[in-house]
Amino acid sequence: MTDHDLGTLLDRWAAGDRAALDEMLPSVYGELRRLAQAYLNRERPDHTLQPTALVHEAYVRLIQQRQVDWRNRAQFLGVAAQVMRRVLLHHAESRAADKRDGGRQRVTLDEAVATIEQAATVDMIDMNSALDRLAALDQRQARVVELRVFGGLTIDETAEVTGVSPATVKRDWEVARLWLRRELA
Amino acid sequence: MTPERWQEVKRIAGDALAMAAADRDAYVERACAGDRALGAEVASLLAAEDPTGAFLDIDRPPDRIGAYRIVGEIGRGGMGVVYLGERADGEFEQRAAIKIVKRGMDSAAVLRRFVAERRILATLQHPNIARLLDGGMTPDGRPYFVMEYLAAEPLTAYCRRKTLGLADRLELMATVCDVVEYAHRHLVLHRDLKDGNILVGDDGAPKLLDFGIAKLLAVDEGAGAPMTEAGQRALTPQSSSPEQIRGEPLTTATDIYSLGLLTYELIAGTPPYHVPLAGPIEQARTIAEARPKRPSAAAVVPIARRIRADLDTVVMKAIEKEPADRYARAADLGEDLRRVRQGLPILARPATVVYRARKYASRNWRGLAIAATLAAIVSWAVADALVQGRRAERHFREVRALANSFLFEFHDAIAKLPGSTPARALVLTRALEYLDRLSREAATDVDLKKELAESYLRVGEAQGLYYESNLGKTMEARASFDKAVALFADVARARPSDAAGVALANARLRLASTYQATDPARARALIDEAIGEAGGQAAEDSREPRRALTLGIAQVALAENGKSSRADAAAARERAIGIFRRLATTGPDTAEARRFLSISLKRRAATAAVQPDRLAGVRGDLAEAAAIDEQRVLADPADAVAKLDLALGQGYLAAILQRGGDLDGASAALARAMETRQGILRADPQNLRVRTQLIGDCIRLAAISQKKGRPDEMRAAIATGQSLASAVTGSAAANPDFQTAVAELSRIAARQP
Repeated sequence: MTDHDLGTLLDRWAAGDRAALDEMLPSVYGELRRLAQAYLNRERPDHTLQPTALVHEAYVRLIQQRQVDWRNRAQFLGVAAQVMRRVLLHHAESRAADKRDGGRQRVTLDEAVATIEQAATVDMIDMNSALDRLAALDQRQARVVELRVFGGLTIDETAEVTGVSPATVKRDWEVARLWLRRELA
Repeated sequence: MTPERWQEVKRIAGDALAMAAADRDAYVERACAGDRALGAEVASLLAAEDPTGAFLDIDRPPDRIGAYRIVGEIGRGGMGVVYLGERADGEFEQRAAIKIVKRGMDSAAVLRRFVAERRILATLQHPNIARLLDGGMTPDGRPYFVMEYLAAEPLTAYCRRKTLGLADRLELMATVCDVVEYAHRHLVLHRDLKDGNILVGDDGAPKLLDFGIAKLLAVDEGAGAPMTEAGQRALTPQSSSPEQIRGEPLTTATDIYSLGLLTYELIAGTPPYHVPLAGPIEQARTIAEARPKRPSAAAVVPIARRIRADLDTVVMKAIEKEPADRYARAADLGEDLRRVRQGLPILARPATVVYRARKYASRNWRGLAIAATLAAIVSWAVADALVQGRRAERHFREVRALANSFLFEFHDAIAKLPGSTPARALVLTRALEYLDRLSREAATDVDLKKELAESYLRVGEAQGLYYESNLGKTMEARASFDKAVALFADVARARPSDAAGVALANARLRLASTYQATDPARARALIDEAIGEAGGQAAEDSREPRRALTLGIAQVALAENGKSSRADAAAARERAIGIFRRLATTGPDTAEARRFLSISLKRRAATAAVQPDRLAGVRGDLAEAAAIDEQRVLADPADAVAKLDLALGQGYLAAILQRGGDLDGASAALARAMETRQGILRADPQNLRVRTQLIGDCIRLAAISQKKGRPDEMRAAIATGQSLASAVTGSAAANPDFQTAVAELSRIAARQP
């Protein structure tokens, strides 16, 4: 996707076309992978790679040359959080399969996956299926978790993306933490 | 488990989580009302709570950052968290707010912005901006900075809790405007001015915080490119401006819009429109199109009827949809808020005579009650004449006569009274309005043009002529003088005469005086032009005293001009003294000539004082000047101008004695100067020139006290100076002379023991 196409999509999106978001996914996906690579090549080996940092930086980079409305940021991060989840899941699933492939890409994403797994004290794959089960019970609640964990959004930002009050988001989040811990135990 | 069932489980578990552990079981049992399966499900969820709280705890605070122990969380935004910290080293009992990049958010772009915020905070040092105390980097590489912790509450909550009246609310907002003006002067846009970012402590002083998405107006020298990206952090839709919605570049007008929204909310209790929570299109439409109710119509505080219209005008102007239609500067909004509070005419409204007259009549003009009454009568008469509208010749003549009586008789009668500076400006402005209105009706009337020019000249003098008591508004004065010059030039073209040329030269010299401090080359060009218009240097011996006086003043200006060499300046001063000595005894303008003679002598003394071998002459000059000024004061004890001239000489004397090592003599002379100036300032607190001089006196007194080995006196002098400086608000604070004095004061304050 060229920058021009991305710009058009962003414009359409700003004008209220929600389908434009889905069309943007490949571009967001590519940017996230590219960034992960760039991180690894950095001089600072001590820098921990954080999936949420990637998501935010992808946003900044994609948006940089465009006068895209600030209001869309939280929604963009929402999309990116979704993408991040898919990227990491895909990586975790194929991790076992290509153990012999020690490419940089793999190492990079390992680190990102590890960050999530460390916080959840669970396997990424289990985490993902638990989230899917939660989504079957409560679509919005699962989305809240996704935004918080993979997008790094605050309670308020999550409220803005989901269109409910911060208090509701907070309850969704706190109860989801209980549910996930029980399911993953 | 069905989704419906899950909603019930979630609700009960969520409520239980918010309770103390001991109360949970009883609550769950009650809430489940005998539904055992439901109770079991909730109980098993609650049992899964991680006792350490670490599970998926993406918000967990660190134990310690730098020298601070983390004791709580104050707030969090998209990229950063603000913690409450306490000094862990026991060095000071100090609490602080510590802002740190959130774990997981430390991307290069975020770090860049974070560092930018820290740098911006470091450049802003203002009592109403949260202070930057410290900064550093955590072991895991996240930068943080430490700010003073404010035991304060958001602006609107404070006003509600204290049930502040309108006057206090307006004053509070005016102070906030001053702070924003300060930031703008330091080339910083705040960009996120909202209730939560303005905290008010128990002392009632507002503090601005969160420059997290502030932007430097200037080019960011680090990156070599302007920082114009549209801000990575989401702003709340509620407080965003139409231009933000349109994705246009943000300017100071955006901050002014936010200030307007806040003012609106302080008056009406709610923001002007409710922006829907979700839906970018609806949000954009609301912000771009909604026509809010006038704030006074929705007010939660009582508003006096007579100021309602003004208040509405001011607030609505601040939240105009088009940035260009708003106030040009935050200080202007602040000024108008103060004017509304005091019942003074606001600047926002196109001045109509009827409006002014009503304002005039409705306001109690303390200390000048007679003048006020007179002015009110005249205003009503004029308003009446104008309102009747038929441009009958009789009306025209009447209005003109009234304006002229304002301009000359009335103004001159009060000009020398202490405390009259704002009154003078008001009277003159009013005269100007009348004449301006008339001139539109009779554009070809040369006499009228002359009167208008004269009027602008006098308005400019009250606004900011250097040697006069003035309001310190140099820019406004410059604009007035500019108009006077243009009008006098028209007059001189239409009706060339010596007198017209001299009048034009005079106006041009006034204009030059506004450039002397900041653009001496421009001032010099204007002075040279003025000399030409007054008939050239050779005309200084002219039999025509006005012309000679003007040329004398031109010499004074040349002597003070930064582009003149030392020798040229000295020669100009000698010529000026010669001219004024001659005019001081003969001709119609002896009073003004004597005054300028006294000024020139003092200036000569001040310049010569740096050369020790000329001290005798210096004393002689100062003595002669003092004799002239004392005579003037004796002749008219109410003449504040003469008193200030006398004080100026005493101040110079103090400086010269101090330099010569006579510290006691210097103190005594300084004390006399200060006494005079303080007396005048008490009667005329808006007189910025006197205030600035007094700050200068405090600086000198502090230096003398230090030399004498009296640290207590030094501290007292600095404290006096600081309290004098802190009373200056609004656009007057931007006056360059005032700012120089304040800078000098902080320099000496830093040296105090």
